[in-house]
Amino acid sequence: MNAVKISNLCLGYGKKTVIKDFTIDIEKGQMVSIIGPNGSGKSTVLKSLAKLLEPQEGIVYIGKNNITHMSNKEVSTSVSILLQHNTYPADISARDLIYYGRLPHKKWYQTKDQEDEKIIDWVIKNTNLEELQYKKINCLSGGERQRVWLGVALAQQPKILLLDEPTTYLDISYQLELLELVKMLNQRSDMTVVMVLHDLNQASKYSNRVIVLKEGQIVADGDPKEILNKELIRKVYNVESRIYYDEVDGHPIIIPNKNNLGGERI
Amino acid sequence: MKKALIILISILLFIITVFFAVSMGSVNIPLKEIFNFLFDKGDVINKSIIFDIRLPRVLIAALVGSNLAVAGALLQSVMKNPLADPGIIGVSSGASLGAITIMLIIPQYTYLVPLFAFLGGVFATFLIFILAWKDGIKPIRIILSGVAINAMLGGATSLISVLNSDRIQGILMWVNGSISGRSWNDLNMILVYSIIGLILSFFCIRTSNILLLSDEKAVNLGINVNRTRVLISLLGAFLAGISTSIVGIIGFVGLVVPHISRLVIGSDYKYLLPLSMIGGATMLLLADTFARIVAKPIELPVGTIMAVIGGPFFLYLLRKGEKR
Repeated sequence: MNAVKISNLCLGYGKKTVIKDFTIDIEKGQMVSIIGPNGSGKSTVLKSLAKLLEPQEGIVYIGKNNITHMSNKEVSTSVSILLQHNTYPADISARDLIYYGRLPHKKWYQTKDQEDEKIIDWVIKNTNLEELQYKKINCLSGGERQRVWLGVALAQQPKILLLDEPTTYLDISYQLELLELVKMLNQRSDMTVVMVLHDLNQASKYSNRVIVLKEGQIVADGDPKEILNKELIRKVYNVESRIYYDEVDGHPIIIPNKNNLGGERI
Repeated sequence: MKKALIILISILLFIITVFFAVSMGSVNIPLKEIFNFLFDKGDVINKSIIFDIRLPRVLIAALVGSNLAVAGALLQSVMKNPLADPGIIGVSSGASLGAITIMLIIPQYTYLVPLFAFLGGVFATFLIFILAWKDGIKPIRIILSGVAINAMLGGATSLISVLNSDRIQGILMWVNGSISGRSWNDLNMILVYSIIGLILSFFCIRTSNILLLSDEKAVNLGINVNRTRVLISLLGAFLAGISTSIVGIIGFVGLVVPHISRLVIGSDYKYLLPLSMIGGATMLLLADTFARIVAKPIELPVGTIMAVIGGPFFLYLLRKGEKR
């Protein structure tokens, strides 16, 4: 069963096309990373899966449904996205913000009920926010705030969770904590995860499928153990590297050591 | 619970203000006598002053204050900008242009004034989005486009006024924003529209809250962002438009009241909207009472009073916003 099916998708902004003729299937329960250099269209693809961007051509299916024919409300009950940039009222508490994640499941006249409270409690426990839940969001650190936004996305109880560079603003311990959490949820609940990552080693370690993009085209797609190699890194990033394999689970570890762009690096 | 208490206190303050406003004026009528009227007793002349002159005026001031404060609060959400006030950004100028066109050019159709004020307000709102929208409206952009829109629509208003200067006398006070000489007829005209608009505003609470987040997250929480933004803007223009059609341009209520309300009760529209509604009524009622008694027997236009109070407050907010 496919969670997502994308066929011949073209995406862009205005007249500019960023993604051309993009076709993939994503199985239910997969943990997929999209990687590639800046401007390769990673985030663009991700946004189209949450209907934040309409296809110029081609079709995105969420389950069996064409996303273009789904209402925002229908999409938001099965797909949730953790964005890179967020705005929020300064004085909202973490718990109240996480409650907003329940709104897609509610009719306009329904208010917060027991079940919502239960789900919010579960989310807060799993995102490790018990101590912070009643604090105002602008009193939290960047990493804590990112966990709150993940909490919003989880409160939506998505079948598909999208993460747009979730680790960018976090220090290394929060990066690991967030990815471990997502991996645990993925294994435990069969939630499909699609994330855009900058760090090749995180993609290698935390996903069972990596899609490599360059200039809007798929260069490689598959198990990181099989596809991540020196030739690929050179081709996509123009970087020479050494590759080691982890002793425990055998995932490739990439050590970049020289770029081939020419010219002096400052 | 604490927030419910704040709203209760604000209602009490409003009621006190109403009694104060009814009692004060060119003739001061003691509160004791006002209570007598409630039981159908007391002096006939004073009774006439209260029921024919002061009460309609007090109620109009309260309604208009509510409308403008709520319009400001709604526009602040859809424009993601705390400086959006119908008077500053030009919505009221648009409404004024629509109203004055009817009043001066085809005065026999006076009953169309609220409709045209509304359309004028919608037109101005539309202009703001075209001129200033770029993934939210930056504070400075909204001020600049507001200046331009106010100048443009104000110019058109002046043009119509000059060309019809033989009729201008009757509406001069209106142009400056004044509630003096308003009757029960005016109140009836605005009452129905205001109640409809204010009730509709309660249906915007949840979406107004979500629009404070980024547009992308709002979409991902199931909101049809563009449609919602248009509908709430229309409601804001409606509330500002019908108010302008009765009392002319009164600025800063929609800026000052939601801002103070936010400081007191937070930015959750569930509490912010009701508090702005009551606070707006209280604020404009106080300002109008002040306008009546400060230079008596001359009555000042309340729009002028609001500008004198609101202007410095606005500059303070602008400066504070820039520092952040």
